[in-house]
Amino acid sequence: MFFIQGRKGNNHWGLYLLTVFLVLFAYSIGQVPMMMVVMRYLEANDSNLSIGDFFADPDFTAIGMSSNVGLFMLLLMFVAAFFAFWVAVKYLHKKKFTSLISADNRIDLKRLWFGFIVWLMLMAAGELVLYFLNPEVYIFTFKAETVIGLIAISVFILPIQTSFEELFFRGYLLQGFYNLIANKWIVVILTSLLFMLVHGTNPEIEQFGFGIMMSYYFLAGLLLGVVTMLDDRLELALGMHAAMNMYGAIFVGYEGGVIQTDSIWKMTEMNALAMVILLIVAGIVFILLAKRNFGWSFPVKDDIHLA
Amino acid sequence: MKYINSLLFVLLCSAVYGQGDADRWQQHVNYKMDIDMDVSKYQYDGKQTIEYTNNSPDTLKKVYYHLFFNAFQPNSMMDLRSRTIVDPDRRVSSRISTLTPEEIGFQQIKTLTQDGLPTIYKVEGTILEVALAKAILPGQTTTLKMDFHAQVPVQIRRSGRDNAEGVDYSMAQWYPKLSEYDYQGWHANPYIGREYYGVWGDFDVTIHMPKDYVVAASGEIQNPKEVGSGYADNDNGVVINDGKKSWRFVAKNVHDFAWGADRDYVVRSKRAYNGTMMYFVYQPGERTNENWEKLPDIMDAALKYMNGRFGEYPYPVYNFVQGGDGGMEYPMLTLITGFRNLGSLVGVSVHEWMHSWYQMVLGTNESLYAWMDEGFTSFASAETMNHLKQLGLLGDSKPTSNPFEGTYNGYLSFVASGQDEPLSTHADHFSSNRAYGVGSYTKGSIFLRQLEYIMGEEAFAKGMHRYFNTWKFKHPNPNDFIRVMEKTSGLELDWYKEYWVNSTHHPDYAVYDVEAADDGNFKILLVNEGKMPMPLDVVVRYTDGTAELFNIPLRIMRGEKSKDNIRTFSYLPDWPWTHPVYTIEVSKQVDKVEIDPEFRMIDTNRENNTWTVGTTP
Repeated sequence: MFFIQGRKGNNHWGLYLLTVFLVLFAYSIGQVPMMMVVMRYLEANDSNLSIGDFFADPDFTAIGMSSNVGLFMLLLMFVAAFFAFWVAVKYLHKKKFTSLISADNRIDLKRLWFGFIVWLMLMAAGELVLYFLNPEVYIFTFKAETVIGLIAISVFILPIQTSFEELFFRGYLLQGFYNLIANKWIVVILTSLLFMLVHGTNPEIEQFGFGIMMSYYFLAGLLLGVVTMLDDRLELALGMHAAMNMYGAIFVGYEGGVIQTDSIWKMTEMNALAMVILLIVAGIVFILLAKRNFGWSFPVKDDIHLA
Repeated sequence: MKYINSLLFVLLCSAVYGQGDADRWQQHVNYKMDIDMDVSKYQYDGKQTIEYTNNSPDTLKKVYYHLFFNAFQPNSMMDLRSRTIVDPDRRVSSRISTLTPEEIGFQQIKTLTQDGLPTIYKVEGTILEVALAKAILPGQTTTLKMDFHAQVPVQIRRSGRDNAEGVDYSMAQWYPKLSEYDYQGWHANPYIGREYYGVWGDFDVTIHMPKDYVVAASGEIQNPKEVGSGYADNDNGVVINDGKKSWRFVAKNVHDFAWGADRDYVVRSKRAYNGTMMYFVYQPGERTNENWEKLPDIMDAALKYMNGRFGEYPYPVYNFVQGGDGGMEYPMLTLITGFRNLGSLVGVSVHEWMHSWYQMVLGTNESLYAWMDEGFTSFASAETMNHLKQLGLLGDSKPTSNPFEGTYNGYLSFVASGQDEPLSTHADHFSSNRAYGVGSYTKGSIFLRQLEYIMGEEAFAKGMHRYFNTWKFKHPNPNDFIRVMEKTSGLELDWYKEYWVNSTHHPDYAVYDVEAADDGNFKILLVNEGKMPMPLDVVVRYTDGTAELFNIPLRIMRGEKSKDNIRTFSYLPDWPWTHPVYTIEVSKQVDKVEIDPEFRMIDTNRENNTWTVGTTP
């Protein structure tokens, strides 16, 4: 009954458009503080980089900023977007915000933790395999002076970003599309495509290639969508997405990524194909583990429509 | 006080509804038989006098007899059926086909007259067709006199000589038995496997056996002093001419008569709490003594429970007789194998005695409605056994809160095998022995257990008494039963009978999901995924630790169940069976929902009966 929750509240198509516009607007406004700070640093350093050049490879330390402050500033736009989104859902659509998480409006913490911890462990296990295949690309970049701040931001601010994305794509849009197309698979694929498109401006695309990175984002969206569909609630996807981003921020980052942090390790070279394969394998393992744990049943049936 | 109440209730019932249906007449028959046994040939000569009263509104020009022993001959219907059915009874299998002329059974008619006039008759296998000398008009009584000669077959099924435990004579289906004529016509069913139906009346049977035999039979012994052997103090009895003893038994208001005879039998007796005389007749030995000696006290306790819960046993005696090939019920007597552990011996004794209620007294046509006998008996004996366990009479066997759990699970796996057939199938017409077995014993007892769930325990208990008292000695059919239950509960229950008896549809309900409503309440969505509707007991547990028990009546019940033991329900609006989805609205956050937590309803998929957080639809 998770998908069909979209029928609750006001669901005029104009409201969806308005909400998307508001979220984009807040997202832009949310970038202003960061822009201002970055510009000041650029000026202070007499850098000849334009702001556009900077964001093609956003390395805050290169302009003398603390990477943690940079990360915080970067995440501010998601805080703004989240807030606008929350207002729109609650006051424009008149929906319960928790209806984007489950049909019974409950947040099952067990599932949140399951998604988070199991995914974290799967990433670590996969990374270990990659490490043994190609150990020389990993470098230890632990910085004691920034690690506390990094962890604090990752734990408290980063989940706002990931949760926003989940609530927006796997909650709001998924339920909204289901009102139009009552087919879970189509809706999951549709939202995964949108999820892929909004990542289309990430700097990784240029670095690793359009095709491979787009399939990575699509597959990530698909995995989160399928998990949501099978569990019929959002907690697992919320936990997984938080684990994905937190892992990259705290443990193993890579040069040239959209989020540059003082992670404990860094990869000097990134094999995008290996990343996609790792995602697919880990995704399948995750689904099998969760199926066993939560007793999922196949095949997926569409929600019954009550008169 | 309780006794007086139930008595009052019985009186009230019989005053208002005691007549059964007006068009339901009963034929009447009195048998007088004199049997002389030649044990050297396993043959006997019988002189039979029948007084037959035609209480039907029809003029009868023919009558039919059953000659059951003719089934035990190569190429009989029983033989062929057993050799061609997919899962033959291993006691029969192809054994009949190999019987020698000395081993077969037969019942030969030497003379048959009606009121002194000769009749024209024809034997076709196990049925004797008789064209009467003169028609029997409605209300008339006629006398049929027959001389017959018979041979006892080796023990194949239910009766015969020299059974596996060494009992000489297990004598059931042993005499030419008049077929029943009722509102559905003649019931001259050939003997193929199962089972029996007969005319009520009085039997007066004298059996002449060599003096070293001990005989146990349906009815009361008339000459205990002459036979001795545990029936009277003088153990030797009186031996009359040619070294034989004569045993005379009279059984009143029964539709069959059986006996057993053996040279090693001992007869133990115990008068039950209410005066019913119980005889325990067996071969003493290492494999019998210990448990058979415990049996009298246990059966006394069993009778007390059976009388209280299902109606009073109306006959003066009951005989537990070692013999046969398992357990088979007859009026005032059962033939059971004796080498059993205590639980099994008590189990078979309770079960066979319980047949007295449903087969001997109510006398449902077992060919057409075997489930109303075997099923009801299985239900009642399961409850009785559980009661005996509660009393601690069965050693270490512990009572359970749901004595039917195994029965239900067994049935569900049978349903999954796809062999289920409607209960309306004739007992001999099921495709397999297993389908018959499940279709009568299992499905019949589930019929009652579910009915108890539908009606509530209190109305059900009253209904079972009322059924017994309304329909005793009247051959009730399924409709008669359900009508009594309808009158007792005030509910319409025909739908239940129609689905359960005439179809193989089954219920399958599911808790689909729990959804938060916009007004702050929660909606529990139930879905009917099966083909048979049922009222539902639903337990809802909330996150605050409290719980609520709901009952959802089916709209076609035209009411809801009354008191169901200690359970307290909140009654919800009816569920019309055409609607696949039903919504329960509650005000608190739901933690768990369960349909029929006590497993009293058959549900072909019980996995979807429970919902907890995160259960996917």
